[in-house]
Amino acid sequence: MIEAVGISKSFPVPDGNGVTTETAVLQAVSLTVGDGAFVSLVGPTGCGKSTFLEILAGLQAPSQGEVRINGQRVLEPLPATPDGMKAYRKRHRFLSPIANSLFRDKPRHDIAMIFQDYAVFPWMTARQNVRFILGLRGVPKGEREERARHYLSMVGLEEAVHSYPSRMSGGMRQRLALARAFSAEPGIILMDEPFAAVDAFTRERLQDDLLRIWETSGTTIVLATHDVGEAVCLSDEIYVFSPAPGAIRGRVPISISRPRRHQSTDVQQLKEQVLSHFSGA
Amino acid sequence: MPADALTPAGAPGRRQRTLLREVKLFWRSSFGSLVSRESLTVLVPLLFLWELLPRFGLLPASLVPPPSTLATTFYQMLLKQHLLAHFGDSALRFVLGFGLAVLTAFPLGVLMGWNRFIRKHCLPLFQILAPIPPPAWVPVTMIVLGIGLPMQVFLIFLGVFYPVLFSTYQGISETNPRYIASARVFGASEFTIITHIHIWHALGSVIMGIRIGIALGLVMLVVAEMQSGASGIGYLLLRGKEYFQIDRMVVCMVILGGAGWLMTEVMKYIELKLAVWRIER
Repeated sequence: MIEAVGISKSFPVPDGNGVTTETAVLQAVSLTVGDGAFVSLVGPTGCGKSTFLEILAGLQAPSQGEVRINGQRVLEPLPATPDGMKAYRKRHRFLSPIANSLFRDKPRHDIAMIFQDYAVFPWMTARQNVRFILGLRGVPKGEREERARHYLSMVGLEEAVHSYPSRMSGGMRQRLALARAFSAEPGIILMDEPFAAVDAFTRERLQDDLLRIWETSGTTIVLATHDVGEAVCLSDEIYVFSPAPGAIRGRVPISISRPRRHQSTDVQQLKEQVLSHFSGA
Repeated sequence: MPADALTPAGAPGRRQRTLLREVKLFWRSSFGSLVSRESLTVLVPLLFLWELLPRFGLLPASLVPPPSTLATTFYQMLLKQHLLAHFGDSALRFVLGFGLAVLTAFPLGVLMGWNRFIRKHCLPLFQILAPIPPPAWVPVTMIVLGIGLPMQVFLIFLGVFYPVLFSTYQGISETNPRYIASARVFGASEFTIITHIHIWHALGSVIMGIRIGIALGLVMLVVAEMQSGASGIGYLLLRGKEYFQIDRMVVCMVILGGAGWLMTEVMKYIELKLAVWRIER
C-alpha cells in the first residue's frame, strides 16, 4: 500500500548569473496504490515522474507532503522556513537523510527499484548481481544460490548466469535487472522507464515477461513511462501527469482482460482516452 | 563447484597448472610489448648502435659504455660493491615508504570520496600541501628527522601519497549515482556501498594513481639516497659520479628503470586480474 499525499518538489536552479530560482518539478501529487496493483504514471519526458518515483523510494525528500508505505512514513519533507532548513542541514551534515545505516544491511522499506539505464553492477556476473541483492535482503547463504538461479531462469537468463553485463545486450541487462528486483521478493517494485532504452521487439517480449512474473508474484508495481501504449497494455490504472511542473491530470482505470494486444480496438480507445487528457488543457 | 575438483589427489596438479597459466599471462602482458616484431624497427637497431658505435671508436667508450661493458661492470659491482646489499637497502626504504603511503592514502581517499563532510574538512589541507614539489621537502625533513631511514621513508611517502590520495578520491566520488541509488533502495549499508560499489568503480583510477605513485616514489628514493645515507642504489649512482665511472652510473640507472618498469607491469597485471568484467568484451 502506497499513499502519497500532496507531494511537491522544487529545486533551486542557478541561472548562471548568480541568481537561483526555485523551479517546481512536482505540484501536489496525491495518489494511492493498493496491494498487488499495477499502476502506470504516464507523462512527457521531464514531467517529474522519475523524481516522484525517487521520492516514493526515499531517495529524495519531498519539499511538501508525505509518502507512507504500508503506513510507515518514508522521509520527512524538507522544512519550509530558512531557519528550519538550517537546523535540518545541521542535523544531516555528516550523513544525508537518504543514507542507510552505516554497517547494517537492512532495507528501510519493502521496495525494489528498476532504472532506465539498468543499474546492474558491471563488476558482478548475473548470478553475483542477484546474490548480492539477496544478501542485502538477509536471505540465508544456503538459499541464495538456488533462488538466484530460479529467478534468472524465470527471465530467461539461464545461459548467461556467469556472464558480466558488459557482454550482455540491453534487453538482457534489463532482464537481469528484473530478476534482481523480483528475487528480493519485495512488496513494491518501482520502475523508471524500464523499457525505454531497448528496441521495439525486445520491449514487447520484456513486457510480456514482466506481466507473467508479476501475475505469479503478486507484487505491487508502479511504472513510470512516456509510452501510452505500454501503459495501457500493462496496467490496471493510469495516472496522467501534466508537463512540468508535474501534477496529476487524470486517472484512467483499465478493466479489459489480459493479455492485451497493442492493435486491438479496446486498447486504441483507451489510448485516445489517455491522450485526451493532454490535449484537453 | 563440483566436489571432485577439491579432492587432494587432483589439487597439486591443478595448482601448478593455474600457476603456470598466471605466469604465462603475466609474461604476455609485460614482456609482450618488448619482445615483438615491432621492436625490430626502433629498439633493436638502437641497441646495436649502442653496442657497435663505441666498439668501433665512433663514440668514446668511456662516455658511452656499450651494453657488453655494462654486463661485466654489473658483475663486478655484485662482487666488489655489495650491489645486492645496496639494492636490498633501497628496496626496504621503497617498500616501507610506498606501503605506508598506500595504507594511509587509500582509506583516506575512500572516506573523502564517500562523504561530503569529511571531504570538505580534509580537502583544503591537501590542496595546499600537494602542489609543493616533494624534493622541496628534503632540507626540512633532514633537519627534523635527521639522516637515516625515517627521513628516507618519509620522503618516499610524500612522493606516493598524493597521487594515490587524489586518484582514489576522484574515482570514488565519480561513482555513478545510479549504482549507489539502486544498492541503497535494496538496503545496502553505507559500508557495503563502499566495499561493493565505490571501490570497484574506482578501481581503474586507483591503480592509475598507484602507478604514478610508483614513478614519483622512485624519484624520491633517488633524491633521498643522494642526499643522505651511505647505501642504496642512489648512493652508488652519486659515488660513480665522483670517480667518473659512467659504466657504474648507467648500471644503477638500468636497475632503477628496471625496478620501476617491473612494478608498473605488476600493477597492470593486478588490474587485468581484478577488472575482468571491464576487459571481457
